[in-house]
Parts: sequence; structure tokens; C-alpha cells
Amino acid sequence: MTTSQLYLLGLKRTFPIVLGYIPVGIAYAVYAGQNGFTPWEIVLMSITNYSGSGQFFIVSMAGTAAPLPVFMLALVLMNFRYFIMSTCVFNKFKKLSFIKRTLFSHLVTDETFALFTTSEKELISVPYFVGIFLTAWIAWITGAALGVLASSFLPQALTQALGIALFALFIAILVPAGKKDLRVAVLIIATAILNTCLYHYIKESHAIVISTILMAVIGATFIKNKGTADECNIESVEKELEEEKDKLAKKSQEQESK
Amino acid sequence: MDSNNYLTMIMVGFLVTYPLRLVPALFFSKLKLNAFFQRFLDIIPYTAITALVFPGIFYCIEGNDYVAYAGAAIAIISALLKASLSVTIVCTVIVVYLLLII
Repeated sequence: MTTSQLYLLGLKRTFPIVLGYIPVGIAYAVYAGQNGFTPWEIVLMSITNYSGSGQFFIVSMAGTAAPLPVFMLALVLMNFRYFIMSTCVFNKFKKLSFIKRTLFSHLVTDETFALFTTSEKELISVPYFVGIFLTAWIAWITGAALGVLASSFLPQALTQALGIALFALFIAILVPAGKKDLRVAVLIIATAILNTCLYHYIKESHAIVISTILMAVIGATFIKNKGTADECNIESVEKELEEEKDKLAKKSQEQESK
Repeated sequence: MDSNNYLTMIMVGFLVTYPLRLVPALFFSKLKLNAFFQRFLDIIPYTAITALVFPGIFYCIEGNDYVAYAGAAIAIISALLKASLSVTIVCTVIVVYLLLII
């Protein structure tokens, strides 16, 4: 495949992600606007943070006077999955320059990671990567910009109603996970109850961090064979790489003997 | 510095999130995590999202908590009925909008 074909294939496959990112981006911008963020700050956060739950968390924390270390710890834990995803994505490349790694790594998200790492081996290339990851990033930023514009001319009831969109998205993520594994459902419900109780006694920001970490520790203790762990199985990626190396070595041996 | 400065929060967000993506891209060809820590990391998105949604969703429509309750119910019901992400979001927003204008 040529460079442009690879790029266009990546672009085409990213279309569902774009369809998802633009409305969520709009909802994020409306929610941030309602919480006092300026249009410039809203778009800047989408460019620099590029993380749905992270940005939602930042907006929720805004104005709560949460101490910086607590805020940072919560954000690290919440976004630590990118560390794992980035490891997987860049394991797919055998050779990639320092500059490309520096620029490309910012673009790793849950959805693009899932699409890219499950793609056919022969497609893994720089143009294919750019077709997916850059497109999704632009869609996310475009959504935020549209949200900023929309909130200035949409009827007030509609912008108010859009404030619930991100919550609905997260519910749509939680419910299937709970349906798939009853123990996860119990954990989700327990977390919701704990956080709702804490909310009335301590600061909202502290409540979120405490319930998140405490319930994740409980979950990790009791849920031992949940299906999501193999979502990013580094060992299998390593095995694949080794097998490929073996194949290449065999091929070169064959060629030499011929 | 505290979280009342929005621009600071955005920059801190970037300074926390970007290295998490950059470090493995530059340095890690393999990564082995302790099994408990791996499970902890697998489960944390769910607990974090739950804590962000509850009870926040009940107060997200300013001055109209009952509409927010109805919205939460619609979102949960449509997700239980296996509606896709976008259908769940659109249904919820439309119902909340209609309740706000009637």
C-alpha cells in the first residue's frame, strides 16, 4: 500500500471515533462553560489534556480549592491507563524516531489505542497512525470549539440540557461493564453510594479521590479474573515480536543456503 | 497555587497527562506489573467514572434536581436496554430538554 492509501484507510476507520468525539467535545465545552471556564481555556484544555474523563475531572475540581497534590494524584491514577496503552501502541513500531515518539505519544486515547492495536500487522505504519490519531485529536478539539460557539446561540434550556450529556456517556460506559460482570456492578453501586455519602460530609474533590482509590483497592482485592486485563496484553505483544524475529532469522538463513 | 486558578489546573493537567503517554513511548519496550497493581489499574477507570457521575449527575441541572433525576433514570434505562453510547446520550439530552421547556 502507498503512503496515501494507508493514511486514507486510517482516516476512514476513524470515522466512528470522530462521530463519538464531536458530540462529547461539545458537551464537555458546554459543561466547562457552565463552570466558569473561558472559551480560550476550554479549547486549550482539549488541545493539551486530550482526555475525556481527565478534562471532566478538572472541570469538576475547578473552584473547589482542592490541594494541588491531591488533584495531581487523582489525575495520575485516572490517566495511568495511557501509560499502559502507550506502551502497547509504540511496541507495534519497530523503528520510530525520537521526535515522532515525542509528538505521537500525546495522541494516545482509549479509542484510538483500541483501533490501532487491533489493526492488521501489515498496516502498522506512520501514515496509518497519523490517519487515525491526528484525525481523532482534531475531532476532539473541533467538538470543544463547536461547543463554545454553540453555547452562545443555542437556547438556554438546550445548553442546560447538554450539561447532562457527559454524565450520560459515562453511564453508558458503566452499565455494560456492570452487566458483563456482576462483581463490577456491585463495585460500581458501592462506589456510587460511598461517594454520595462522603459528598455530604467532606469536600467534593476529596470525596471523589477517596472513593475512587478505596473502591479500586477493594475491587483489585476481590475481582481477580476480570476480562479487561487482556485488553492490553504486553506479554503477547512481546511474543509476537519474538516470533517475527524468528521468522525473519529463518528466512535469511534459507536465503543464505540457497 | 490551588485549584481555583483554572489556567493552572489546565497546565498541571497537561504536565501530569503528557508524561504518562510519553515515557513508555520513549523508554519502554517491555513492562511487567505486579498482578495486584495491574488489577488496580484495570478497575480504577470504573470507580473513578462512578465517583464522577454519582452524585454529580443529580445536581447537574441548576435549580432543577427533579429533571436531573429523570435524566439519570433515562440514561441508566437506555444503557440497560443496550442502546449505543450516542443513542443513550441523545435520548437523555432530549428528555431533559423537553422537561425543561414544558
